Amino acid sequence: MIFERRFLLGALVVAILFPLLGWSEYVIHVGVLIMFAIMLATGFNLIVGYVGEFSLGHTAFLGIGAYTAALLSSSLGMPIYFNIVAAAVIAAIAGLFIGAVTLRLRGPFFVIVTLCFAEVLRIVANNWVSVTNGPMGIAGIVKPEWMAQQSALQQKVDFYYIGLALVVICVYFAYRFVYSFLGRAVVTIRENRFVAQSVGIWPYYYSLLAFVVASAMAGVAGAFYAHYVSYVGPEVFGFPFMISMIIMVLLGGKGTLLGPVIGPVIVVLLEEYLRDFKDLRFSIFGLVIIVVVLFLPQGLMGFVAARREQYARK
Amino acid sequence: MLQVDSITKNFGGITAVANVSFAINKGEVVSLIGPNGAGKTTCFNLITGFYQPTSGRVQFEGIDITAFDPHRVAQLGVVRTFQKTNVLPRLNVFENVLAARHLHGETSALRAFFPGRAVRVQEQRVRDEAVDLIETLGLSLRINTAAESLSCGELRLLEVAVALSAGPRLLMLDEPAAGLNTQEAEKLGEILKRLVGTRVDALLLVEHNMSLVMSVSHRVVVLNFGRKLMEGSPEQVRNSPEVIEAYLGKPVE
Repeated sequence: MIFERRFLLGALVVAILFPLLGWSEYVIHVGVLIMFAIMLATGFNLIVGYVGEFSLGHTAFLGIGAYTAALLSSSLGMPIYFNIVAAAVIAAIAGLFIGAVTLRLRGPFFVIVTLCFAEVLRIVANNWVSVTNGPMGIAGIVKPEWMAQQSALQQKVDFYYIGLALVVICVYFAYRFVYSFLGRAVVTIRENRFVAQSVGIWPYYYSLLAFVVASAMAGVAGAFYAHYVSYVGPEVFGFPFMISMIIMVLLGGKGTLLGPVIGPVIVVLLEEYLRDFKDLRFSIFGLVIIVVVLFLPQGLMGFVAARREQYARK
Repeated sequence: MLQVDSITKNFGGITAVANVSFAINKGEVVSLIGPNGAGKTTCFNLITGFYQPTSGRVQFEGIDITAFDPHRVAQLGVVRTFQKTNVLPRLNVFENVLAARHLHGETSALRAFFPGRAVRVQEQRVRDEAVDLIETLGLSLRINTAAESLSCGELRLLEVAVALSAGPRLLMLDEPAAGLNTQEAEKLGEILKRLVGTRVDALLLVEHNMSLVMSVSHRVVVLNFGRKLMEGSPEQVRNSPEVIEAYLGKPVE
């Protein structure tokens, strides 16, 4: 707990200072992508790592957040801050409904039904042309007004800091979730569902709570992404986002707070490095997953930073 | 306290429990015994909501808990242990007992995200209570040991600690002495006797260790093939020809 707090604060300092070193536009762009990925992975990890159910449909909430922001911005001209909050709320509500249905299932059934929800939403986004503009997507999502006069580099730096602020909020919520009675309850459910019930923990309620919080984080990530690339298409519901989320969380260490912070840094950098390999990229990622599952089942941070409690009398 | 009215449970064509009734009063230790497959654990599952009875009723303190979910039964104060794996194996002793203290700590999700002083005070209280319980059961030396690396005897104690930590009024233990040697079972019996009236109001025990059953119980309910064979004091049960027959069979004539 203390190690985690120190590590996170250290990482925050590094992240604040990073853009001051005079990097190129491209490097800052990668930094923005990392921020986006940390939000996604932190939320996803609450479900996979703490509740212990494997969702393949987390992109549903990423997409809902992205489309919420895109529609609010393009049709009503709402500003980015409002859209991010709205995306979080709408994604949380969607999470409440989808979670209420899917969390009645467990194991492979949960995996399949969550995947179905994401796929249904992708098809809706693809075909509901009057609202989502179909496969063309929604383009021209406006950036904040004060960015209009700035250079492309400065705009990216601004987005980097907005992303960092959102990451801090998401990680704070995840931290509070894990190190409160909520985390204790979901870990009990993960470790032994029957014991959890026998001591009065309602598995469905606490799983759903984690699911809703994770959905809200994905919604925030989606809105941030929409404003950053200023375009949203049906591919935000697609499986590639899901794959990178899975790799980030598994590589970093599921069921740890630091895993979803470290994982995205490594995976996003790898994704950028491996651009030269084009389609081979995905095969290489497949191999990475196999190696992690076989040799590092707890992930990079799994050995040092799983949820632990020790007693100190005051 | 607990009133079980002619509960029946069918699994397909098999009747695991048929028309079983018994009651537990405040201050009592009641044991449920019977040969393997007699329906003792099924009875536990029926009372605590893990199974729904095919017919019959279960009442706790006048409340009909027959259709309750397991966590709601626990919230009313009926806490049971399981024959196997009644702990969180990868977590340490402290974490196990603390996790089971769930009902007595903070329960507002909003306050989990925005904690104040009150939350921290409450958290410390819950932690202190957990440690007190661990000390009471003599597990202090193992407080930071993972449950999976405890010895069999310590594991049984931890199971009792986890159940007690939930703050039960009626504690239901499913074979708490399984795998213990005679001395360890005696020690456990002492602990169980002390519990009633101090930490819990009543105790329902499923156990195969007859000397433990006979030494702690006020009443014994005997099940055989899902039916209630008899109910009585330990002496009555020990001397009943029917019970001896159920366990050992009829003498050859």
